Amino acid sequence: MEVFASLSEGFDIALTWDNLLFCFIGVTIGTFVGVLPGIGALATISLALPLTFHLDTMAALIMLSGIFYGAQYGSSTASILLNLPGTATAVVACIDGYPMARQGRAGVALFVTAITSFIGGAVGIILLMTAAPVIARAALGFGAPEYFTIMLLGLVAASSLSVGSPLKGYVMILIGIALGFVGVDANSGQMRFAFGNHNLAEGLGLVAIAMGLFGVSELLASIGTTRAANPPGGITFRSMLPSREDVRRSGGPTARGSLVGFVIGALPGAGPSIASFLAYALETRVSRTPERFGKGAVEGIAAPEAANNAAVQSAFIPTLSLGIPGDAVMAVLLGALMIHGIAPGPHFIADQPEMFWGLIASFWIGNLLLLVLNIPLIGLWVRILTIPYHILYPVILMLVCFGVFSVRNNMTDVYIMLGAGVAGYFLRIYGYPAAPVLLGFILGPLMEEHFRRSLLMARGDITVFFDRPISAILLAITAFIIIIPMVGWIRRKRARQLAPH
Amino acid sequence: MRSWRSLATQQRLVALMVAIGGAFVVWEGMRYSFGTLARIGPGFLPVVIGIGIAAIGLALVARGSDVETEQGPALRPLILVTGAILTFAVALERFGIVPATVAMTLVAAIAEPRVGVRSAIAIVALVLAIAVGLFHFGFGIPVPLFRWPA
Repeated sequence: MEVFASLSEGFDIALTWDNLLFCFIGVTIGTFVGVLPGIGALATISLALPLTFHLDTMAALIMLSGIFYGAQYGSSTASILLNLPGTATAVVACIDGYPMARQGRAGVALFVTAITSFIGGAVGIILLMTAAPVIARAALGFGAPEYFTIMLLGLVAASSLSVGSPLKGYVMILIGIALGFVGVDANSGQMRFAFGNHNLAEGLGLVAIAMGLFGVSELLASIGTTRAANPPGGITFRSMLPSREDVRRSGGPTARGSLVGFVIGALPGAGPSIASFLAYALETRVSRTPERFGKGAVEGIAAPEAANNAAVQSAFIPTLSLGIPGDAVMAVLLGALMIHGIAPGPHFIADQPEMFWGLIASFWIGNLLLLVLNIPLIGLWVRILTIPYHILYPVILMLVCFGVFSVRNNMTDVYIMLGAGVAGYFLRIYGYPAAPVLLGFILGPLMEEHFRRSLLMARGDITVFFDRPISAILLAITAFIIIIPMVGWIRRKRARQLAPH
Repeated sequence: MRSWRSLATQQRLVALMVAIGGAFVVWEGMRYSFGTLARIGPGFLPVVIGIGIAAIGLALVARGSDVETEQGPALRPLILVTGAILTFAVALERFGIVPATVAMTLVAAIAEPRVGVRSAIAIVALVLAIAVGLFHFGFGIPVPLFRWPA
């Protein structure tokens, strides 16, 4: 089997001391920020990005990815113990996890989430291993028009599937693309939007923008609202062991949750939060005893936890096989690849097989490490929940400032971060999602280049995007995604007009 | 003054600022060559994208409020965190790592209302230890621990 040969080479790379160490650091940091409410995986990855400039590309990728999937493991801890989700993906875990804790079954709930997280993650990795190389091979024939339309589809899907108003999502994408204009235009060599400031020649830094939008604005939103809590102590290993009944009930939900998570995670924009919601909804439908949900049903934590962990693994499929990030975390990882001089796209797996398979192998190792971190060491994480936020945020603020400055030892980046942070805070308050800005910022320059190249090739004939079959299909799907919510909106409006006051 | 404080007005103002931002992108983009469809210039996409931003911004102004806003901005953290970052930006290269970190942390610490003097000192010590350990000894950023401005 070709896959196993490649994977064993991957393990040779991932099992070197350096890579093992950074995998461990990554998943540990991930669990830490996953457990803590008020700081998420995205902020942490942006924070860690400048630090990884000092590492080699492989170690950097392994560590950043570890933070991402590690945070999924930690995130349900606070949901179960405190009814307070550690990250947005763990909202669903509150519904049945907290009632379980109230019934004195917190240990069982934590154990079940750790195991189902691992199973979901494993299913995700297996499918990622098999699907990504196939998709990449199919995409090798893509020309500039296909790239342009698939990126367009990715952007539109990512902003309209996310929560809130699609119009606000679209405008944030466009703002992200506009931010990408700053600096020297790759094609004409002309400086754009720099206003005579030579510090802006290289463009606005990804780290500064990401840290501002997600780090600083997160701080602003959390100060004064996030409180340390008193979680129940005394979770012994004995109290964690599930009964035979629990195991029997969890089997089906875990399997269904993994598959739902995998499919949703691979779609652009849908991500782990939506995956866990859908998995939970599915369980309440197929269950013979739906009345038990919301009152501490073990199925209600098994399915969503399997789903969000499968989703974070399959989110790597479009990123690694096509170079199209499905969400903001993947966009930052893609940015990290580009900063390290690697061009993402269908050629990535063929050109850098050792990097792709090394990363996959590190996922296996990381998920095993997480199982150890989350079962025997769970008491440690519970204690972390008691760290008060007024100690935490000055530390985060310091890391953010020094981190951004250290990228190129230039204070301009700190001012850019501050601007992005304050703007991001206001936008967040008024319901504008920040993640699409980052997607637009990273994909914008690539799209401009592919758009220019497509038209050059077609001598200015705009129909080139409709003439090529794959490109036409992608455009049709894009149009479909834009139009569907509009139809619903018009229908609602009409219903309102018809209805008597 | 009451109408200024209503969230619907705030929503419209933010949308208007988005639209003005879009108009600015168009205006600045028009200074670069637009090119032709076969050879698009550096001004092509800025104009197109700017028009898009302005159009959606205006649509959002027309729509006014939606239900997504729960509360307005919290001014105290906003001012103090901004102040802390500016303190850092101004002080780091002039006075060195230690004074910049201490000053930034002190400004940041008062953003939470319930921090006493003793815990403020403890927080400063903790932050300083991490900053010096990680960025001076670890990554060796080219800024001294102390510097007396000339």
